[in-house]
Amino acid sequence: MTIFLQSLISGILIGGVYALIGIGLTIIYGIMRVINFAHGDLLMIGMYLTYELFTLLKIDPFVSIIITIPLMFLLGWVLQKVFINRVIGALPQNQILLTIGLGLILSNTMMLIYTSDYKILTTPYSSSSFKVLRSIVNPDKYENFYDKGNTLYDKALAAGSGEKAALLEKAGSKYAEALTVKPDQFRGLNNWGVSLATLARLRSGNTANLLYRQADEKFSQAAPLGDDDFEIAYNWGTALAGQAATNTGPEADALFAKAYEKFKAAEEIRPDSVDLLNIWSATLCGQARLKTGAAADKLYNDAYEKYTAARQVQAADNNDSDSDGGTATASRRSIAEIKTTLSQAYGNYSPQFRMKPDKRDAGISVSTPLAISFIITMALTILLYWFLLKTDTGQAIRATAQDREAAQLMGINVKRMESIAFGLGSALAGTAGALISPTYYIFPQIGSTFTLKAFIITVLGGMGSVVGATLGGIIIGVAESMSAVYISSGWKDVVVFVLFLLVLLFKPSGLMGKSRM
Amino acid sequence: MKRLLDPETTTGGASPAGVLIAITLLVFLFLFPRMVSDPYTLHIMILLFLSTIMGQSWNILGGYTGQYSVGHAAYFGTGAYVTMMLMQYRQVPPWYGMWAGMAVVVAVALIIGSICFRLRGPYFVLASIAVAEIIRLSAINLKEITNGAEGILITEIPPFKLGETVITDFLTKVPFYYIGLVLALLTIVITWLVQRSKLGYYFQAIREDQDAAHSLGINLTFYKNIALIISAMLTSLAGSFYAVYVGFIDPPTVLGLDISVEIVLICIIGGIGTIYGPVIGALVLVPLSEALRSNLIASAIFKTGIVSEESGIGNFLKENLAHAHTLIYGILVVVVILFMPDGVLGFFKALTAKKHKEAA
Amino acid sequence: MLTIDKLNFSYGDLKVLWDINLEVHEGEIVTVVGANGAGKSTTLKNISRLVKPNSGSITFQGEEIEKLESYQVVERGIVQVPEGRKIFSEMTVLENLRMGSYVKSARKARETNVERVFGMFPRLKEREKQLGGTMSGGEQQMLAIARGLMANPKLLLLDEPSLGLSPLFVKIIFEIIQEINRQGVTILLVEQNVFKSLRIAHRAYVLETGRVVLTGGGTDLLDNEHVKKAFLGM
Repeated sequence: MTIFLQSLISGILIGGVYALIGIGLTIIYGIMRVINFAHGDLLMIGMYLTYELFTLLKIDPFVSIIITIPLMFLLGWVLQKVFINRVIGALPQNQILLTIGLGLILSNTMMLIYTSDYKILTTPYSSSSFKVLRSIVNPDKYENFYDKGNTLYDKALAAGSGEKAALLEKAGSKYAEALTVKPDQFRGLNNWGVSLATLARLRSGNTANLLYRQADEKFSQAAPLGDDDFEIAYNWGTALAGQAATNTGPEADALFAKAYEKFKAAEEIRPDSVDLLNIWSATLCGQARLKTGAAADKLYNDAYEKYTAARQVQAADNNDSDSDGGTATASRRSIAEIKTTLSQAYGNYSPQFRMKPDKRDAGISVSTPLAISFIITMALTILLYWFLLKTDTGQAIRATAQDREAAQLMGINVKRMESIAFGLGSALAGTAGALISPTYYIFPQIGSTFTLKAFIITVLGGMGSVVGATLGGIIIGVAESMSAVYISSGWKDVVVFVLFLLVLLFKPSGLMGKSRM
Repeated sequence: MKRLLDPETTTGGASPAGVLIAITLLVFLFLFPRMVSDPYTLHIMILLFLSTIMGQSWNILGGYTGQYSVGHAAYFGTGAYVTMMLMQYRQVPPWYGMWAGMAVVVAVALIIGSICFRLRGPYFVLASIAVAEIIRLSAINLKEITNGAEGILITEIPPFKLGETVITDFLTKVPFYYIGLVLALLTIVITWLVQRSKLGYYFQAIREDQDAAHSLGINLTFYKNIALIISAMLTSLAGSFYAVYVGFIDPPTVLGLDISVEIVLICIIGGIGTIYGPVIGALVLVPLSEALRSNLIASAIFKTGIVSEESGIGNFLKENLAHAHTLIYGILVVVVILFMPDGVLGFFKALTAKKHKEAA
Repeated sequence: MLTIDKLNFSYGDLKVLWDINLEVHEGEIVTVVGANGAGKSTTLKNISRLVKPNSGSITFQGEEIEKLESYQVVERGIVQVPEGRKIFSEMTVLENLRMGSYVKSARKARETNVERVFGMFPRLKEREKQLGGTMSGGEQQMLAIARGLMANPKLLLLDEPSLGLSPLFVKIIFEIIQEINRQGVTILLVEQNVFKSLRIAHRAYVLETGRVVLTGGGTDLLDNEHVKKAFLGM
């Protein structure tokens, strides 16, 4: 259900942009009966325009459409006056070839200027997203309790010592409720264990011991469910180490040994975790302090080994080969030196537990740039409808599409309408290009994909129908994202083409029938 | 039906002088590799033959029957793929593989025909593109049999033997030259035969007016499919030839929309629905794009002294003109459609006719 | 008001009009009658510049108009109501009327003109919001004429307004034509309904195979033996 809604929503969002592309093509076809094979290339020009405005003038892509729209309109106007105008009423194949030729000229000119390298327009929000429908999409009780527990735990960490314990207890009870709904969820068990262990740290003596034992129980349930899960092993070991520290004698030693066992398991899953190496080393260090003589020295040496390993990982992460330490000097160091180093490193060390995050598919994730572009798309579409339905020029365009000769007899300058229509189509394609530029690669040959999509959308909606193109755009957007999820992303375009052929064969007039603008 | 009555397209009557020129030309072409052994020149000649085959095979469907397919890459690529896959994975030599390629292409063409021929005008064009795209995307996705986007690279071609004698081992360009020449002549002869036959008459009737042709009792779907099959088979041959000659194919280079457009272009530039059209088209397109590719044009410009090689523009030209051959295609189509809708030769014919008229 | 002098026109190789001379004076109803294919509609299309003549001149109020585009002719006050009505089928009645007053000179008077034509055609007022394509033939013809009036024409060209209509509607249409004329609009009417159109015409022309063969007063021509024989079946 979540996946379905997810792909439906992202399909609709991208469908809005497709609708703009389709409307542009359909207006051009409606007025001139010319199929514009350069449509995708106009979109590509819009992308580069947006790219330049962004990199040279730092204008946000969504703001830059104010500039892109008039420029693209002008480009379309000129193309119509100079080229398209000459083939109106000519054989359809000649019109098609002319626009194919224009498309080749546009894309190859851009290739000469920009080469065929991919350009990326990165805005701060390019890859950001937000979630919607959290409560509706996951009516699942378990998820609700789980989410609430997580929220409470986060609050507890931030809270002062007074409230901390109370919040942790509340969080624990939410996890408990969650697990009564679904007992076999390792995320819930892990987080429950973490909240118990965190609480145990605040307590002392028997209370602490009891809480640690409860945490231990949760982790031991979680571990087999969360197959080879690093966080569980890490938390388990950390909790055991904490418990060991509250005990003494052989009991403590047994707990320490169990903790190392868990650390070792965690290390096998992720050998390069600095946090793990640090807690391990600190724990060894803690145990060493309880011992004397050779036993203590051995533990210190082990602790130092983990310590250096942690530094090395850190150094590798920072690409910083000159950082201190290194194995070469390790063996030469005396126990005293080691002790100082370790106590400096872990004197105030307080290990952090690792929470399992919110369940990733809670709610529907919506890409921010796509959402913004959808809102702009809708605004533009409404504006366009208003223009076509309510203004004299818009009505004259529709009149020309419905009956060219009658329009001429009304005193409409149909040649002018053609220029406006091509300008408008070009502006819409360019705008679509601008709107997708934060999320798509920009390269000179991207046009043909969109040209084909534009045809499919237009044919689906009925050639010349603006309403049809709007619907067609959304349908194709949804069909694409659905087939990407349910079939495979490699085959999604095939699905769309097959859909296209089916429409051509069984309903060539399109879904909106013969309705014209 | 004006064009139908045009004696030139129907009879193709040959004068004795014409026959003499044709025979001289043929002899010259067959002796050419003996006179010129420069591999680059041979390469250009091979490309000329290939373009002629591609243009001529489209001509049968697009030029004579009036069905503007912009999806011929489907047949070109399928032929190329079947031949290469058989050679790479089944060790079938290409001179058998190409027949298999043709067989597969006929099957594909029949499917495509049954879908697309129900449609007319722009819808037919769009459907033909869609089908070619489906095949291209399938070639990318069916990794197990096509090797996906990586394409197929062959390093050696098995020598061609008759019995035990090795005819050729394909180590130079000469064998490719002769294969290309023979295939080009074959397509020209087939087109000529078709044009002169009753079949050609039906094709042209369909081109001029489908409804009228139908009312004359011509089975539209049947004859369109015949035209498509002939056209697709020859295109498939071109694809196989290309694949073996170049030794490498991948989905965009043999199945892409560019190929479909190029095939149409060859014909349009020369003049559609004529025997010589694709030949002229190849003669215009191939040298031009090769000259650009090898920077001949840039150095020619430098020689004239208009632009210095060291100047900024000079550098720009040197670096970019090589990539401009597709740009030239674009400009050529636009110019041809706007100013010479009957192709280059048609344009010059009309021009001389006009001069005659003015003189008279 | 309108003078056509030696107009020749052909569709490709097919010559349709041969040296047509025609005159319309201000305030008149002038009818052009003739059989199918005689060139009546083509004459109108030449005036409204939908087609370009081979030779000859067309003068309107002292201005040569044969070089103008269609929309410029409309701006001069010549409005054609086309054969087959050519209603914008996906537009409402009101939108169709608005399109009728698209030219700048007519836009100012749009609202009063809408009221005026609704006064003349109350049926259209009732169907104000209906799509043009969904109306009956008679209603569409009314709309077409009303739409033509929206441009404040000086000269209204009517191309076969009674074609395909029921007798009742034919009667109404002819009454309306006379009414429009009384309001001061000059009318050039092309009709196959020879009897009715000659009866309302001040003057008339008879076209046969692209040539003017007869001209005279409308009622005079009704009595003409040739007209009687050729068109009225008497």
